[in-house]
Amino acid sequence: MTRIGSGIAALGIVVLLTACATGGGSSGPLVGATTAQTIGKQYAVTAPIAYSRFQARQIGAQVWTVNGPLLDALYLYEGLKPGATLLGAPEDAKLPRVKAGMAAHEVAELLADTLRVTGASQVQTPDLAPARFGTLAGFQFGLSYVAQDGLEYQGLALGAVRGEELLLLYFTAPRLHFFASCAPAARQVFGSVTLR
Amino acid sequence: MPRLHWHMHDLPAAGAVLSRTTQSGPGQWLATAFVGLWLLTACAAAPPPATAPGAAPALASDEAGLRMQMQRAEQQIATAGNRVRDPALEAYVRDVACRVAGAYCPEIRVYLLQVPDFNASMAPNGTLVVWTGLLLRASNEAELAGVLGHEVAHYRLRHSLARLQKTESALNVLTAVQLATLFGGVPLAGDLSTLAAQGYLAGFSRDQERAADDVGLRALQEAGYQPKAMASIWDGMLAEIDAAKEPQPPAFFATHPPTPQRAAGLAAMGAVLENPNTRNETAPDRYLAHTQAHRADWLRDELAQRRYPRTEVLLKRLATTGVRPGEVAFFQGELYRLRNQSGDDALAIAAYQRALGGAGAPPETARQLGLALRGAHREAEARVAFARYLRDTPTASDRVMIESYLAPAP
Repeated sequence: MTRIGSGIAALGIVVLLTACATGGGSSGPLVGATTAQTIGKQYAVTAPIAYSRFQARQIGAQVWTVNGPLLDALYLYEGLKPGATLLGAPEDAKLPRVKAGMAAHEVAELLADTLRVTGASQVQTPDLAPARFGTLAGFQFGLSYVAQDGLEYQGLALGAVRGEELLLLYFTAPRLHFFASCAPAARQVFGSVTLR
Repeated sequence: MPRLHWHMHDLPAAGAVLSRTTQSGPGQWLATAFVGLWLLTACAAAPPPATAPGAAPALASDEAGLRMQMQRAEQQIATAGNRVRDPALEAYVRDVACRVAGAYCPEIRVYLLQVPDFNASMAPNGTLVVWTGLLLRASNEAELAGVLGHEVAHYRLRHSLARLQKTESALNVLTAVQLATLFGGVPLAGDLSTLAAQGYLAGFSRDQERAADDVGLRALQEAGYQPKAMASIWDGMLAEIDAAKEPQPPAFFATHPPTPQRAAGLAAMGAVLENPNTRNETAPDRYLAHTQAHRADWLRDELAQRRYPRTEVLLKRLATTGVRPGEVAFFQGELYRLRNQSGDDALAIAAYQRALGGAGAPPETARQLGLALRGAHREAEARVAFARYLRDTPTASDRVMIESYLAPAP
């Protein structure tokens, strides 16, 4: 995989193009707060606002967005098995991979190094702390980085390990305006996780 | 001892070099052969006339068009997200470049880009771009000066213009412009390795490389640097490439062929140019002092590439060049942890412990040791390491997470 110009935010575009080209997913507005959305076989969440949803089967995730994936993107991974990467492309040796039984620090590193490989710089994952992932003991951390075009991004992540699989949600948006605008809804989604 | 001047346009001086080399005693025959071959091939290249300091191309010329393209690319580089925004470091690199650029110094604008590969390039409008992978790998100021002198030589010899004029179709013109801008780390389209695979570019650049080696090494010597420095940084990269066995060479070497013959030629020419009456400065302490604050970030970028054989060679080299032992040992531990092969967990623990016993270990060393010990089910030792981390890093943003590891099991 070659460098993606705007770091992980550009993943949204890749996801959309891939989904369109392969017919690999479904999309459409989500229903509001009352309807639980299942994410793979492991868990479900509830959306507090209407999102557009793109199902990216190649990376095993759904991408939810309000303003478009470059401006706000919520990634909901269905359950990452050992050997998987956050970007699919399993043949790329550079991409960090999921391991069985990852520690919270390793998951933060997985996301940070994925960003670095895709061209982001000044990547930080601050405020790593324990958090509930539904009823599971999980962890949360913040995220900040600068995309190749100079745009500063901020984000949040929530994860847990269940069996051999890594369950991961993360949200990212430009620090200016969009993070503050969309992060509260993302936090509500994080707080709505119910295990299946 | 008279100062030696030699250049591809200066055959009498070349003869003087060969004569002096032969008189230097046994063991110099190989060097003599390399230097002679080098000069002969350089003479055959017939490069375009060099530009004079401060000269501007005619408005309607190809060169003016190329400069205009580069001005656009320079604007992108100036605002790039991965530009290293450290004025002091940028000024230092510019000073080093100016020392080897001499009268061309006012035309140079330096940009540092956070890219973990070995690369530097100078565009036809004076934009000098240096990637942090080069700054990480240079072990002293002279090695950096050697690479920068080489790139300034490309500028002085107007190689971008020659490349443009040799192209025969609109597609090739586009490719040449793309190549020029790609060196700045701002790819307009495509991928460097793909472009470099095109035969006409690779074949074309080798003569230019010899010429730039020639001019660049002379500039290095005239600036008072150790002229063998260019060969030593080349040797370091050759060792990395040998260890990596990667199908594509690092970006810089796509157009700067890293053959053993070239390394030997550089070493031989450096030995010839070494003058006991000049400083032959390498300045490792000054170089390390200017780059120290960034090295850990650059090493994290390097490790994120997951090219462990190369990184292992690099770390071994850094250990011999004055980088603090605790810092090197910590990143060796990180390499073993990430590589995760059989036995690497024990190697990582040993490396972290070694780091904590040496100067320069980053604050997170004790935490990483704790996590590694925890992974090895050595809970009591892990708790000691975590406690040390919390004691030594009271403002750690992951404090709550670490405290949760220390809490009694429910």
